[in-house]
Amino acid sequence: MRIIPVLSSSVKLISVIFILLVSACNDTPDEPLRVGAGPWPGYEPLYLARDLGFLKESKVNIFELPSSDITMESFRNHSTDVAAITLDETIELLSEGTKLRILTVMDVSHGGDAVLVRPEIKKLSDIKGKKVSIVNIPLGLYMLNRLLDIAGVSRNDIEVFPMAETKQEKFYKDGKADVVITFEPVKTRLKKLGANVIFDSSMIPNEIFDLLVVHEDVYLSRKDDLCEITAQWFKTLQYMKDNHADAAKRVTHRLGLEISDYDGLLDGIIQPDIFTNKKLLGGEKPGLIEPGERLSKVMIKEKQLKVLVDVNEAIDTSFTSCY
Amino acid sequence: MRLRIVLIIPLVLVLLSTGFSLMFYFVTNGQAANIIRNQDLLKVKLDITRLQNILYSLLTEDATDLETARLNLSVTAMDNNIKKLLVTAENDVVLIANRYNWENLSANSISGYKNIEAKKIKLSNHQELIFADEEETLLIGYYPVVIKLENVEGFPIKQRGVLYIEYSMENKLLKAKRVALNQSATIGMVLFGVSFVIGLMLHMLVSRRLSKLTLVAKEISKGNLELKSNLRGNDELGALSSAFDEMIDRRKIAEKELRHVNENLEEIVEQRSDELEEKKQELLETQAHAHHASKMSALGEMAGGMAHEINSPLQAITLLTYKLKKANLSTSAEQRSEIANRIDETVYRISNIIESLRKMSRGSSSDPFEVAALKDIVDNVIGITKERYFIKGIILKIIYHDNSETVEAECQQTLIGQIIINLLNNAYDAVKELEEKWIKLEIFSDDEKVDFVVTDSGKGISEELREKIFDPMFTTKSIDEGTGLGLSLSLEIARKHNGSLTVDASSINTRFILSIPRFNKGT
Repeated sequence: MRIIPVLSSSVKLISVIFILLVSACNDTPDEPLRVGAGPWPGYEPLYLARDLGFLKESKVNIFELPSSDITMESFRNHSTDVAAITLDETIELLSEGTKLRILTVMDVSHGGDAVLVRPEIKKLSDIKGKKVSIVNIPLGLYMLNRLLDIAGVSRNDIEVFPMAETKQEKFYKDGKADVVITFEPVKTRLKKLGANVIFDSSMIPNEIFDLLVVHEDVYLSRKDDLCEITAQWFKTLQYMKDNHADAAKRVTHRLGLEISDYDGLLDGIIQPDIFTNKKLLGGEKPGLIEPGERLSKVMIKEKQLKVLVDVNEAIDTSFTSCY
Repeated sequence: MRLRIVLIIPLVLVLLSTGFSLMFYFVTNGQAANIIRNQDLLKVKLDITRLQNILYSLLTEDATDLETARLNLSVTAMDNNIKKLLVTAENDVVLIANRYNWENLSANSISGYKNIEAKKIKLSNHQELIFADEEETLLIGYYPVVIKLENVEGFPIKQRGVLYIEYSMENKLLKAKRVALNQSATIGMVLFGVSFVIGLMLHMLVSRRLSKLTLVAKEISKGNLELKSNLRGNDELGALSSAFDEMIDRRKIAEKELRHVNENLEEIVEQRSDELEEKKQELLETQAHAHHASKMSALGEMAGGMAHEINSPLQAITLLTYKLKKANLSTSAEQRSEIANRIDETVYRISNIIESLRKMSRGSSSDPFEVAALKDIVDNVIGITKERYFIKGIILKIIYHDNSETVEAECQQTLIGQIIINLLNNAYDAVKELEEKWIKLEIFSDDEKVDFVVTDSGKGISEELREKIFDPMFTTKSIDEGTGLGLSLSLEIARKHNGSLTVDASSINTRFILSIPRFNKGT
């Protein structure tokens, strides 16, 4: 009659196995988050985090894209879940009705975005009648408008060629443009070709923000993974400070520059730390709202926007508490 | 612990469901994995040949458009499953890659890329070389790409480069495995649930109710009839329960009746015992009376004979006394003495007859068993009866066989004598009116028993009568002649001596055989 305890134990064991199986099956791992980013010094900590193993490839897959236009487009058409884009791009996406959330302010351009001119152009007003190459993203137009405002030159006085930043160097080299509105690393490459910076984002501080944004549906379903990305982001920023040489080597290699260019690259951007980020995206009135409104107004004025966009709708202040 | 039959069915179902789930898992997962591998192979071939075509267009122009090529490669690589996608020049240096930091490195430094495989593509006309790794989770592809690059002298020349891809199927296979696991677990859970429900139903409908019936049965076996099963339901167990409860009710009634009977039984037994005792007493008294009556009857029958028996000597004494009175001087003293002696002998003879009669009348069933000579028994009987036969002209023969005159037997001598008297009296009555009148008393003996056989000249006893003659109160004689108890009592005495009294049916004459053991303490 020993069979009864054995049978009873067997039934219990099989029950436990089934329950474990079902619970294990319900815990199906998600696909890695698809993060799209173009070449820009401010985004480099992302790649660095991956290369250093801070970001697990099973959780995050970074698509390295050659230009910012394809980054924005791939985010718009949901080829990516997360994207590193500028504030003006974010405002444009919001104005189009794209539901998104801002996770982190990756950097604030402080010279990284610039207007480069041939050596013979000495002052801003000299751009009149010149061929101007701009990046084919809202930022390009925004920078152009800011340049024309400051230079006091009319749009009709110049010839504009929008293109991906990847093509600007060759365009300039081929003599097809006298003025190039671009950003790093093209800026450094053009400088090496003899071009001079006549205007840059340090002259319009707190206007060009680079953000890590995510689609709303992904935000709602993968908050933990997103939080992990931001946490690793700040960890990598610290690594770059602590391991300057290694970071310089890795970043410049990826961007196709010399190691000596590294400090110049970083000079053109300000990378907010955790504390600054919490001020920009957290609290009762996130600090990013004001520059957002200002930028939005400028964009309306420049006819890039039809209505004012409230950046606040893309901010979940509670998210800052996770990092 | 008892083996619960109701557990066997759900247990078998559980085991079957587990087995089925496992089989389902392996079959489904295997099929899904095959489909995934085939589909991914097709997808990779399609995507990469498309990219191959684009790259051909971009990289074979005089002004090689690496930037656009990189854009196309990067866009193609926007797939979580593409781990590596790169284009190498003829010298295996990476031109463009989905990770920009691989560019300008030797492809051999990138794990997975093997220049031996790449060489096969570059040197042969193979359109592609695509295969899965050992674990069959990764597709590795080498595709030829024509690239126009400047040589050391600055002249653009066409090279045969390689488009390398690593495509991981791991996630899809893992998902398929989990889906298969999920489905098989769900099926298993459902079947397990069904098994559980069946088990529960069997428990509720069979096991629990059977336990109740068992409990009631046990209580009944202990004598407790107060418990009832009272199972509800119209099924077989419900019917069994009803029958069971009905049986309990009936048994209760029967037990009640039995108790009642038991209570009265003692009284009845006591009453019957008293009655039986009374009857027994009556019977004993009747037997005693009958015995006495029989004995008296026998003695009465002998009385006639005895009158002659005593009368003849008395007449002889009278005659001798007369002779003695008339004796004179001529009568010698010797003659007188002879007369006196003859008177004396005659008196002695009378005395013997009286002694025999006394002995016969005195005997009873309470006499002790004593060793008695057969001859004494016979002599006592004959002493008091022989005269009757003589008077009637009946020839009485006493024949000892087997030297029986010297044999002794342990018996109640007087009662055995009474049987013989009874038999002789019956013989006397039977032959006294016949022309041929004889009675024969034969005595046989051996080491164990003694037979007294009384045969007369009668023609025997019919079969019909033989069956009745030993019955009490049965007689063929007139009321004056017999009581009907003689043979009945004789049989009883014979049985008391562990012996027998039978009619010899084989004899042409009437023949009774009294047989008793020689050594006897009676019953």
